[in-house]
Amino acid sequence: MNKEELVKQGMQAVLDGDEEAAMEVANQVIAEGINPVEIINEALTPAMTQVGDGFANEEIPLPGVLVAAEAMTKAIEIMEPHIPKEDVAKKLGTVVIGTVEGDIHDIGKRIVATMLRVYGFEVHDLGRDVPIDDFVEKAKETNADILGSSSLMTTTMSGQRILEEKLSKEGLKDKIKTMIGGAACTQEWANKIGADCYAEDVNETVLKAKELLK
Amino acid sequence: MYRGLQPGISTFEGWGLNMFTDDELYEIHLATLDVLQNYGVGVHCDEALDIFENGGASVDRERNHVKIAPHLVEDAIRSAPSTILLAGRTPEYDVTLQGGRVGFTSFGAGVMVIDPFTGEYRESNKKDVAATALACDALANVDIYSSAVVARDVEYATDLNEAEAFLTNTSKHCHHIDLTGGAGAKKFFEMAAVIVGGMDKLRERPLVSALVCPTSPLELHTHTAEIIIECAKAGLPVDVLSMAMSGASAPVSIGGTLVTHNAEVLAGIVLNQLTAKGSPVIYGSSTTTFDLTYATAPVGAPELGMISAGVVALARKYMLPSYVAGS
Repeated sequence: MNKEELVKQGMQAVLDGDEEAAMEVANQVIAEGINPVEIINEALTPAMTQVGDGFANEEIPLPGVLVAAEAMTKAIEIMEPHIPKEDVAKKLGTVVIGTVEGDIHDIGKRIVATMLRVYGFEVHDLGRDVPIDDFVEKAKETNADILGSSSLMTTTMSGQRILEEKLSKEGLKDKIKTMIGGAACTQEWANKIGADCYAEDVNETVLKAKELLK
Repeated sequence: MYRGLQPGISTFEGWGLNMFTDDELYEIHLATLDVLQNYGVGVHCDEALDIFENGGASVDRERNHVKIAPHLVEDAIRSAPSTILLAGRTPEYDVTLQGGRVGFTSFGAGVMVIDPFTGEYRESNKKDVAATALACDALANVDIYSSAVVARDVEYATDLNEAEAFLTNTSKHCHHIDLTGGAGAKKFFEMAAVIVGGMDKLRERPLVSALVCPTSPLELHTHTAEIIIECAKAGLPVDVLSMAMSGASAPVSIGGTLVTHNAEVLAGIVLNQLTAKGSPVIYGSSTTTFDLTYATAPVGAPELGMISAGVVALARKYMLPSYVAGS
């Protein structure tokens, strides 16, 4: 199969959320000696973006996004060891993400972490009920570009403000961009506490994360 | 024309929605027992883990995970009382939860209000908590007060400030939805005890009760477990109320959702009964579907009505009072 065919099939596999088809394409890419980065950039990512847009337009339901992301992730897993060294380091950015201390709601946050990975970010997911200090430590340790915090309850939102204060105190506010999300959050809250960004859903998060790092 | 009496006939009062046969409810019950015994629930509270372990449940401390054998579940269902008093300041405001008797409450907890005087859409505050209690006090169709909104202008001891606001504005029973843990619960009970003249009087005529939420799927977080335990110790009713969302935090089918919902609530009830056998519990639900296109949980969806009917059928089977969201 030539590259053009593989690009078409790769796109369709992600659009359909077809894991098997995506993995088949990945194997073919390796067999043909094609640079996986080309397939990722020309087929998988555009298809994923199309799915994401479809979700934002309320045409595609959330599971459609998740299966597309799964398919893409499986394909990338197969191709990753075959990416030429010079192309490997091209991560969009490093993100540390977690649900704030006292809060164990994380379904949305996990979806966001998956999607950011799919779009080429290096993501460190700290899990849930994460002490504020752990956010800061991990951000420093990984040289994070973005620090994302999620909060579902009004009672745990204050953790996001404490995070901003800690980052200010350590002089990290210009190095690290903060993103907040979760059902309790709003743009007003982001403005109030000085977070760099608020995103309402997974699609917005990816778009805004890319914006933040421009 | 003369028409004779019909002795011994059965009649149907009011209106009802029969979602399941007894056999089908039994299937759901068996599936629930399977989940509790073979998969278990996450419990993030050391004291709760101790209570489960001492009660005979199988506890994995490293994973904060508990597996509950069927007989423990059945025992808890049997020992939890079928009749519960939710007392008001005076008996005329009392509500008895029993069998299929229906009552109404304000649900919550809202975080935003439309200001009734300015029309502004803003965050709720302590004054709003007081105002909602006052309104519910006056409304004949509201039987008990449940925290309608939260006090977002209070950063410290928010739950106790809310209690101060509603306890002083209604004579009806107060069901606190926003307690933040065992310590807060104890202080809340002390406040109520001051009103009625002591913890013993409070136990006899519970002026207050608490609502707690398991975290779906299948987890009891620290604060939830603590409050369940404190309520048991004080002999005050606790409403173990899950809000699972079918397709997001529960299986996408209504039947499957009822199974995991049931497991979560019963886990809380087992904890409560192991703490103090015979303590009053209420079987709660705000469980609804999850809209997979808009990625939101519509509490006004028809599925919520269907699930609530299923929940009540289960609660009636267990002979426990229930508390369900309505739209």
